Amino acid sequence: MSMTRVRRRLSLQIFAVAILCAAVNGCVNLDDAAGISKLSDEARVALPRVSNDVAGTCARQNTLIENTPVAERPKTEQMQDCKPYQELADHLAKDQNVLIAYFDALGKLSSNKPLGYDTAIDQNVTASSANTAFSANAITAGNDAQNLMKSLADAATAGYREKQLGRLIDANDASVQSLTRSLKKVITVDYALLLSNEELSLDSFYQGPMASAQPNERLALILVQRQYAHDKAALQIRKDNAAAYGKVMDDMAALHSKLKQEAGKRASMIEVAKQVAPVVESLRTALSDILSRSNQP
Amino acid sequence: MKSSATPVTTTLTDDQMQALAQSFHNIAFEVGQVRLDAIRAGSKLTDPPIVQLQGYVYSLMNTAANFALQAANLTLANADQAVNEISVATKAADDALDKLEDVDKAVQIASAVIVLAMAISTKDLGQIAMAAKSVVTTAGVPV
Repeated sequence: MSMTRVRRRLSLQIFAVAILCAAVNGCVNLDDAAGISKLSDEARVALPRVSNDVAGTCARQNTLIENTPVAERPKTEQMQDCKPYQELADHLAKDQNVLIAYFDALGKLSSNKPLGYDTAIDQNVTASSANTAFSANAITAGNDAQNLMKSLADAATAGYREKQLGRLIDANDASVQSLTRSLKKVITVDYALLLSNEELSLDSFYQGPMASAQPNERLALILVQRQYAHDKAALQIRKDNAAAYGKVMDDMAALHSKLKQEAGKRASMIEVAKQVAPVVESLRTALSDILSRSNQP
Repeated sequence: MKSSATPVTTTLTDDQMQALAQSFHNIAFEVGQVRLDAIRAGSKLTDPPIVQLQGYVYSLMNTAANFALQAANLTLANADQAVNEISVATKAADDALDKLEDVDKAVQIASAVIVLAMAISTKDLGQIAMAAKSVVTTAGVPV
């Protein structure tokens, strides 16, 4: 059975269980209906696989330069400074953590589990947002993350319960839309360009020596071609993951928007579940794709 | 009478920065292609112009990465005019490098583009305009 069919069947089962549960004793809540806590757990594992690689691409490009014979590169050539890459990766990690923590809190609130928040995240977000060397999108993401964190802290302090969920969703929709948009842009545009740079480095590194290989180096050439193909395939996985990250951000924004819409209509959880099912399914697929690709050897 | 010609200082938008980053990346790609074509045509990896082109590829990629990573601080006087001049220059360079077989010409164009990148980092409109004009002239486009 294909993975897509398995996932679709699983989603239908979750939806069916939620409805059955509601029919029997009215126990359904947003977390049962949309599986937000589980999605948050998956996002917590999948998204850093992409954002951490902002620093990884710099290190890999420097390795290629290091492995180029000295006679084939200019004497003045210097390695790239990976510090800005690492700083951006750290900044993204903190902002996406806040986004995930927020969705997790929605799940907890809806099931009346205790709502807490990590003050360490709060401090980190504040510190990283003060770095004005980042791109405008990265700075916007930091500001939105701060707004979300403050809102979560207020909700925790005020002892929010399920009935205040709608208010929390309504108050934070603008920040969620802006944060997801900014994170998407940093990954699908800025990081994508860094990956294109890496691809150019790879092509320069392999294609030059391959083009100048002598006839008696046939076997060595085959090995190099295989290594080149392997490295290109690994790079393609990273590009696909960047695109999937963009999809995750779109889906998180759409999910929040739907929740806001349904909260405004004071819809039943059954109706909410029905409305959010397609976007939850899409989100789960995108996260699962990142994880399965990242686990490839 | 007071002059109203004081230049307006503007921070470049993220879209403008991303367009600049993409332009410098594209030129790096074209320079890399000229280098590879020359190697396929018989040049050695250690030939000085080939080594020089390799260095320019790295420099141009670093410029593109800097624009992508640290975009927010680039504030220019008459930003739109500056961006327009840079765009015209980088397009001229990109077009001229496309399928270029003359390695020495590629070295000249790439070198002029790197001077432009350095001029952008000075944030001096005069230097940017001069460097942009030099790129256009080197690329062979009549000014």
